[in-house]
Amino acid sequence: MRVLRRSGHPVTTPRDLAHLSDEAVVALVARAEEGALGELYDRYGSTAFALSLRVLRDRGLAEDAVQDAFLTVWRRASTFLPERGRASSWLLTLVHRRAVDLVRREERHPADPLENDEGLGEERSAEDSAWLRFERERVQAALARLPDQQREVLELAYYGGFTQSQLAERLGRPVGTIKSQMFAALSRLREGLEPQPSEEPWRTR
Amino acid sequence: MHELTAGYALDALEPDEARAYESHLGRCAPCREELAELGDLTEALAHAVPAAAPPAELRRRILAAARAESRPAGPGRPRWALPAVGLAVTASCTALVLGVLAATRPSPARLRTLPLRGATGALVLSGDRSAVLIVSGLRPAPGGRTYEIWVMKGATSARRAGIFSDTGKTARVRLSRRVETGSFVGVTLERAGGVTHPTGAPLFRSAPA
Repeated sequence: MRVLRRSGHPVTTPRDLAHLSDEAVVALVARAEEGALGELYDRYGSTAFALSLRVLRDRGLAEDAVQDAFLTVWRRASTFLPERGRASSWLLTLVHRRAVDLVRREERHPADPLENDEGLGEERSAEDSAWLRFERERVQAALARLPDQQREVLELAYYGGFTQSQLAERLGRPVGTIKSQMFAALSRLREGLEPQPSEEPWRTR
Repeated sequence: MHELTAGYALDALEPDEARAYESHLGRCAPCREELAELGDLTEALAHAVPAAAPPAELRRRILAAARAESRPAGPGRPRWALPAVGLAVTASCTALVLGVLAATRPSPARLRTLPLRGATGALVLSGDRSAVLIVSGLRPAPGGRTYEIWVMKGATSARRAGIFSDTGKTARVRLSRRVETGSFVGVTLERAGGVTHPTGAPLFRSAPA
């Protein structure tokens, strides 16, 4: 997945960071370069906020979770190991974990739908907006292809912040069933996100 | 995939289970690899949520808080042991005000995606008919050649809409021409610099707009 680069934002350091990989930017954050933290925010702040808002359903709490996660990156960038995954996954995992912590503390899991406020070339570049739109539809389609019970468990866990025991109670299924459904849902989702054989891209040879 | 790995990747384990799993991770390389792979999947789930713009103020607040902190040096915990985040000052009143301000933004144009035929990707159209081509798994154009994008209508009309050579994992190219209703977008391989008329049938094309 390519970096999300927001165009038109003033660069806060003389160094041009836009051409660096996410991992290289995190390495600069580890050296306490504030501009690098800003660059990381420009790339992932919107995605982080959207995820946080999806879990928390409250703009103020969602901002708090994003801020906490970025400050964790600021403090712990030196412990990040690129061989254990991408920097973007690490950051979004921190955001998700913080959002889930807050939603459990608040004991609020409301389920009202969220407005989709997006457009080409608004906050992000047109290319980034378009890619995000494509990626969103691709993942949503893969989710829609999951068996109902598996999708329910996956979505309530990841987007709702429910633990496996809470899900067992809420859905009236044994916790062992919840665990295996969650496992099956992720396995299937992984397969579902592989490129389809029928969509084999054109090759030069 | 370990069942616990799935639950951990989704942050759905009970706190004691999560702690036990983290200490297991320290000893189990296959589980660490599995978890790293699942990072791609949870990141995809993060991208699937409805778009939402944070208030512009949040960036400044994060940088100010980072500046105000003196970061403890020295070896930290391994990366899979995600620390409890706490400590950050939460400015709830400010956040509330900014949230209200952000909600008054004018609503942007709607986006529409058209599937591609012959390649994996989409043409993303905005309300004003401007468009971005997204295509995955395309090889870089061979030396001396370039991909050229056309806005096409019927069998004969093809108007230049941009060229690209660098494809990466997923190419994202903004078209230089609007895509009117009834047109579609096709891509051909042409000599470097592009040509004024396509020299062959499109390698792949979008559904009609």
